[in-house]
Amino acid sequence: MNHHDQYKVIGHIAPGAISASSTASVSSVIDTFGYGGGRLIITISLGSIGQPAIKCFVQESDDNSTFTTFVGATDTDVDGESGVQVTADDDNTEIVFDIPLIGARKRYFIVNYSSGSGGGKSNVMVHAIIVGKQIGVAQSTSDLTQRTGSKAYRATNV
Amino acid sequence: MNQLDQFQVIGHISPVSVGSGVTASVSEVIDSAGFHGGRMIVMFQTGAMARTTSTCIMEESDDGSTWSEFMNATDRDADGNTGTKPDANSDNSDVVFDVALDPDRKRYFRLTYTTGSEGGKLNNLIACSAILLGRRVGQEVTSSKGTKRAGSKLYQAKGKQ
Repeated sequence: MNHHDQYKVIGHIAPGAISASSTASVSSVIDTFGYGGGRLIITISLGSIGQPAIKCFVQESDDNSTFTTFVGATDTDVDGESGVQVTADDDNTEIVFDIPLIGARKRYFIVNYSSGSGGGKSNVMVHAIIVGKQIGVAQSTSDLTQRTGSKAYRATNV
Repeated sequence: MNQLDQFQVIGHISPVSVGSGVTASVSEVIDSAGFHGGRMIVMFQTGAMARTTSTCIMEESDDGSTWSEFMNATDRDADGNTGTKPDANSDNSDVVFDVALDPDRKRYFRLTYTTGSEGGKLNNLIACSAILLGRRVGQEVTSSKGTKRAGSKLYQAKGKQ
């Protein structure tokens, strides 16, 4: 990566225990404005999973109001294998969605994750990182993160 | 990013409720082998917070065994402000550690997070994942290359046909 490369981290679904038949609350919609031509990588991190998921997909929107689904956990993965919904056996794994921000894609994105109506709660967290080039953008915490109160630190090398 | 750019996502601390005086368990040490010259972004996320934090630091190691601290949430942040540890008012926020993988850095990394030991409070909901960004020419993208923990899956969105 050269010095013009930029990124932004978005805490999308805060770490939480999702109850039966609940949809995880999205705390920040992913706004990719300024990152056209870059890449959006969404990580769904699973902790203790008490029940299967009934929804796990990514949606996009032009207006941050009407969202349509374009990639989901039941699609074919990068290994060419048929995807599956999260089950109670998927403790401590990741689901990663790799989304090139090319012309076909819209500006806003959300993850829709809903639990089934089975047993206990499921611990889920979603992070997104947008990578691209925004020449001349200063690297402040507000450039590098989205949610209020967040902090960014950069390692100082010897 | 061009077609030679690669990444790997590491689920580092699974989403978990951390109790009094407890150190969050790391499920995968971050191994940066193959990403030399690239960049590591460690993303620590808070959910509902009730307790203080006693430790929130980044450590590195040459051998995955002996660790030394090189970053701390109390360091100056990217804005030049004095950093602070997440506390009970830090619900739904992110702490991001941006680490250039140059020769000064070691191969293995981990984030150590410990809550305060005050009693009578709810636990802190936290999680941490990392992403390694770099170039590994000719590296095919598969779930096992793009993620680290067993059982993880990687999906790539297609453009409109």
